[in-house]
Amino acid sequence: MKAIIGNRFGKTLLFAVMVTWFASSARAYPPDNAAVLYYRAFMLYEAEDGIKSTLDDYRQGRIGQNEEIERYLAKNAPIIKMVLDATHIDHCDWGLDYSQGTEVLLPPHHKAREIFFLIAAEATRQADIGHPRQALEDCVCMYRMANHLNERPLICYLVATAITAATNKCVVRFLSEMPPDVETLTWLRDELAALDQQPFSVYPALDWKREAGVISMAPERIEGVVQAGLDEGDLKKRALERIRTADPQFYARNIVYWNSFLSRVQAAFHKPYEAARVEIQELDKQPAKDFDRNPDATLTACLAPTFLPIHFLSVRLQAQSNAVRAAVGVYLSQTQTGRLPETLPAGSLGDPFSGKPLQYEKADDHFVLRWQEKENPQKAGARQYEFKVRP
Amino acid sequence: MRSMRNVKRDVARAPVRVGRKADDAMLEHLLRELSAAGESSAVRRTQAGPHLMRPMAYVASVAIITVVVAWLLSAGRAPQSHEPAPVTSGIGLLTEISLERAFRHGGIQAVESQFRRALAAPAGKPTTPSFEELLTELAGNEKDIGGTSL
Repeated sequence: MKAIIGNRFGKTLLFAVMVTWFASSARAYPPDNAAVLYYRAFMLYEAEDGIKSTLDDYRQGRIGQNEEIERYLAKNAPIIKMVLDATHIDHCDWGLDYSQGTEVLLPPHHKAREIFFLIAAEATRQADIGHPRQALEDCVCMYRMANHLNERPLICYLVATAITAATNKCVVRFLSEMPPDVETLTWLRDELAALDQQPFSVYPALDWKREAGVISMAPERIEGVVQAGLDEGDLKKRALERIRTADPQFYARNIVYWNSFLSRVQAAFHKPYEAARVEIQELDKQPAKDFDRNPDATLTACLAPTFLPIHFLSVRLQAQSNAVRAAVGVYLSQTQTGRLPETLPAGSLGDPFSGKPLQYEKADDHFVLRWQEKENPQKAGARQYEFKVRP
Repeated sequence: MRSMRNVKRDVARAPVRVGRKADDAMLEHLLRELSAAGESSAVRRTQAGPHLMRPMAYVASVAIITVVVAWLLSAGRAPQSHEPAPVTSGIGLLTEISLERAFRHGGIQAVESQFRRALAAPAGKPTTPSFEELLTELAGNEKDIGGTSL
């Protein structure tokens, strides 16, 4: 030791080790796992009675800023900061025990929605006081939070989808209200492109669904899973009867059926929208149809969720997100040329419902981006975003 | 058939700890039922009667019944249904499969309600000691803590 400290190299090495050690112990915040901060925020945040609707009305522009909102946002500033800090951490591990299959305990993601209302209200406040860049930065943070929330279970995907869709609406509003600003628009375009490097996707949830099903189709697990997952009724009763008299081959054959079924579901999700919709609709009915005559379909009939609404939500979210990205291109063009472009900028993402470009309509004071969704025909607003334009 | 001596020996050695009053009440109840059943059946009366009338057989029967009842009560081996009870509260509501069931019923709103139900704090006085009580226990003297010394 004395020899090491005695020479110059040794001193430098010792100094470097000490600096590294002190630096690592001083840098306790933020942690290297975003989930630590999310869990803290979820634990600490208790939404006051009635405040959620107030915050939501404010986010959607139904009411203006008022003292109650100001006071509430100021009071919860530490929670907002904690969550925004979490979104800047790349690594997010919620600590889920996936070896439990479909019995994996999920994090309290319902709190994420309450936190979303809080941060969306803060972003709206920033836009209202003339800080559109800060408002959009908060939105990018919410997109990141949704990516963090999108753990493998389908429920996590659905929670994250809801938050991403709501954030899209915030961005539409802030873009519509902000003055032309090339720098902010360029920044936003680049941030969205960076997010798309790891696109928000339903596919990890489908992969996990398949894996979780196989884990749960074990003799020691399956009865508890069926009890928890199915409503009382004929299917549950008959499935439990089969499970109680099952031999090892029953499980092996059911796993083969499950894997084959999930392969077809996953392949269908990759098809163009209309073909996928028709195929998934049929696939959703298949296990129940096979249940009577084929015992191999028993466990799939018990464990398979209805995939059609999940597919629809995933495609609609994609359409909305593509429209937001295309709109940023339109605003950039308008800011640079002084008028709205005649067509969508080259490279704009398309309409996943039709497989064609998004429909683009422009007027003097706004433009519309529309996707060819056939569901909800009575709700035109559900199939398009309208962006206001400042002269 | 085991000899009466063996039965008496086993009964005497059985590690049974139950309240005497409860045993007596249970015993009386069982005997009343037994005698009522005996009265309703002439055949059984003729078969069981002589045994019950003999003091040794009477004591042995009572002892066996007492042991069985006590064993069931102390070991908590009451007859159970084969089916596990469906999960209606607590942490079981937070599993993926249980939340997917909620989603089927009422979408993401039902999922959120289930999260709330699962994580809701139970009402009423907590049954576990408070931190104050734990610290008092640690200090060994309530005055050492005083509620504010931390």
